[in-house]
Amino acid sequence: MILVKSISIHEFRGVRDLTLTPDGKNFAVCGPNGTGKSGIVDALEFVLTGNISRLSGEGTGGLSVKEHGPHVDSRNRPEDAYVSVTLAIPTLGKEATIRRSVKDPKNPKISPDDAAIRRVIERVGLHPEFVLSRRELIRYILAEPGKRSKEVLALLRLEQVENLRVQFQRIANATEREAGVQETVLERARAGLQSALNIPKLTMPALLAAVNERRALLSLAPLTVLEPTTSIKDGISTVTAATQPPKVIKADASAQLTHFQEKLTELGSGDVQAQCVVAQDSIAKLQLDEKFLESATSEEFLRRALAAYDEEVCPVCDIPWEPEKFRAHIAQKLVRHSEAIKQRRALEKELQPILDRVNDLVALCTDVAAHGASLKPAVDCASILTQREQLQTVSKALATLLPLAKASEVLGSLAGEREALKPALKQLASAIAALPEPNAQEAARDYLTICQERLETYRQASVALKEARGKAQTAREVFDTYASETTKALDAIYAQVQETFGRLYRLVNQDDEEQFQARLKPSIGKLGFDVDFYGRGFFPPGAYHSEGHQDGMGLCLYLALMQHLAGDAFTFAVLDDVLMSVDSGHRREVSKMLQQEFPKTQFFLTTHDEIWLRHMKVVGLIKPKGAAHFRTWNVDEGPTEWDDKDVWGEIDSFLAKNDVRAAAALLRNYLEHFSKEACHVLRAQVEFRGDAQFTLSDLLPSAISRIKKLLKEGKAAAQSWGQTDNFENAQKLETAFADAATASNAEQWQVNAAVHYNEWANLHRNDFEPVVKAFKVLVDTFACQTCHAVLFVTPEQRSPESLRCMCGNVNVNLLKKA
Amino acid sequence: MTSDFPEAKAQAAESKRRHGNGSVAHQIIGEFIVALEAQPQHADVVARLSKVVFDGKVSDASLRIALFGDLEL
Repeated sequence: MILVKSISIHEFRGVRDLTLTPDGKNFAVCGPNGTGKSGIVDALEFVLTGNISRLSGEGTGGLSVKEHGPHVDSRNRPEDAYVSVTLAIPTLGKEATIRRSVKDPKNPKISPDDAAIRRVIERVGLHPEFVLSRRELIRYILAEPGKRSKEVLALLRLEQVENLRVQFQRIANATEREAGVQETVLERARAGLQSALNIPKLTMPALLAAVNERRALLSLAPLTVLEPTTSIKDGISTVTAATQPPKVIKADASAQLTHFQEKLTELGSGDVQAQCVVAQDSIAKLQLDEKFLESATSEEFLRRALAAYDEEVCPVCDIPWEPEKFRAHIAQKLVRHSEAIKQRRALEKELQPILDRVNDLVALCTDVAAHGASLKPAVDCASILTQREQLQTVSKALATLLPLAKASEVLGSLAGEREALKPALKQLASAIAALPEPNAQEAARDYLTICQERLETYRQASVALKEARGKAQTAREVFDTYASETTKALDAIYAQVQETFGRLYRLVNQDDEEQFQARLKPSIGKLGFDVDFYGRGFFPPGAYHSEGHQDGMGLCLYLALMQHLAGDAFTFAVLDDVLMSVDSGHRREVSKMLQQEFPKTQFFLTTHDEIWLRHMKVVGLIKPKGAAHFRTWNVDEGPTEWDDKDVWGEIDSFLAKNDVRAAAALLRNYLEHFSKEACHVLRAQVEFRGDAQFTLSDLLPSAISRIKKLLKEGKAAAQSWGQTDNFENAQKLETAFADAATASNAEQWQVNAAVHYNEWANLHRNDFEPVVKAFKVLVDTFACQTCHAVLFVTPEQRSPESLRCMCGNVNVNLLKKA
Repeated sequence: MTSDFPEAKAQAAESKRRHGNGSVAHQIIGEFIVALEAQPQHADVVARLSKVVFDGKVSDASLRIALFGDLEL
């Protein structure tokens, strides 16, 4: 999609003023820790997306791009903090420049500002996953399945898919719970209606028979059918227009009082008390479980925070959060408490029958106390209302559950006789008994009035339940469809990713894990990840593999995901220190894999390890000028680079300062490193040293001797095939090597101490300059002049078959005609 | 420019309704919308949902309204 040609950073993060010119090719930023490498990564992310993950992700509370994006000395001048990048857009055949200021990050200046370019840049902004840091690698390699799923989805910026799933599931569960509550309400209304009708079973014929018996007493027409709008007291007002019904209907009040007393007795009965004791035991066990207590408290706190969130600011720390990120953040934290949630649900289930009983009594207290207030003279029901308050406290404590001690305590309070209620209950019973007995017609009128009220309550509860069930069904079906479709889509993604991941990892570790396989096992909300461990079975990546291997897996998984997601549009990636801990034996292979498998992707790599940088250069991943080498950083100047971008420039700069000693030391160190690499890729023979402390004189002559031998073999092979051109090409290389080796005197070190590198530091500048020049020519001769990769032997094991470079410009066949 | 033509405009609007901004996340969510559209009993729901699910700021309340058709007060 894009390639970065150049980037200019001004007063941004730790950078004062810096321009880098990757020119659309791989580029490395190398330097010790604290020299400003991450500032470059931040700048790239900022200019392309308007955001800096380091300032807005998890654990960055109190940080913001606006406040902390500018250099600390420009923190009050966000307009001075800007990043400008020149991009090549291969699909459009165009170049464009984006300039984004911290002051107005949402409105970058794009030049030329045509619609096609803007679309490409907007698309890049939607894929900030092009930046990968080491922290992210480890997060999803070692995470638990539930968390890994979230981490991988976050890496792919698919949190929205997961967030929606969580919300749909939450609504489906909540609506099912709401339907359950409505069922209880309906059941209560049904019992109330049946009690008022005074029939053994609530059926339509029994209801109509009982109602019509009373209607007949009032000379009302019988009901033949009960429809949703039918009133069973229809016509009653005309019959009794002259008489107002009493406030308290004797039969109803009496029945309710009896029911109340029965329920009170049941509450103190052995059965209910036994239930309470069992529940108290369960609570006591959880009280001893410190992990549960800690988790349950945190979980409750998080849920309250979620409930109190106003879509703008965290209710706890007052920091602004985007809703999606806030919810994802809380959801991620809640995953840690899944075990506690499970335990809590089990206890809630155990407590539910007790809670229902208590809630029933609360309702009965209200009804009975209302009768007391309506009687003339009124009966003092203060003790019943006090009892109601106590029961409400019990209900609340059992519903909220925490603190557990409180829940246990209220369960204990349910036992025993309720002596304080007895006087009021006695007075109520007397007052109700003293109400005049209604005559048959009045009794029939009272009966129909009460039954109609209860019928209405029942009807309303039925409608509410139907509605709640409808919602629950809709929510569940939508959730099931969502889960099924997203799982299908993610399954397809993961299946392809698994294959690519395994292939990339095998390329990096072909020396010892040629048969490596991996399994990504997605399920709703989870992503299992097991890897083969040397044919012994499949295990989580952290089980047996080294940390270096795990980092390698992280990189391969990221690349596999990106390749799947972006396909040909995967043209740019920032690998921020992710190569650091890949085990040293596989760094070269990682560099080769990046170069071979992602030839169309421009990698922007940061590392504090110079050896890594050299590996990248040796295999040709980074071209000689494709790196910025930071030396130091300070707050006034920002990062400072080496005087030149490669070792030769640095040596020249030492010589310019007449510092031959420093130049000689650097030349020697560099040649040692280079010779190691050359010996490795040429498969040269070097005298073994148990301490692995190979010196330059152990290495470079062996490398020269090896390449001369190979070129001689190449000439012989070309002759055997009658290939004159190949012969001449090998001859040219041989001559160039011979000349360069002679000029360097390196082959004479063993026999002529006067030209030995130990003497370099004692040379005069004018004498040392030709030495440097000779070795530069020699080093250049080891590399292809087109791709700049050091020539290497293939295959890496068994008999050599060719001497070649990365691009194929040099390819010397070593196999003679049979 | 395709947006000069009403047909193209309508096509773009329909594509946005089904696949949001075209990101991978929105494409996956779009597959869900298409699957839900195939269930006639959810015709109303899908019409409302497709207006909110691509919004990164979707909330419990807005989803409930989309699912059940009205604000519960």
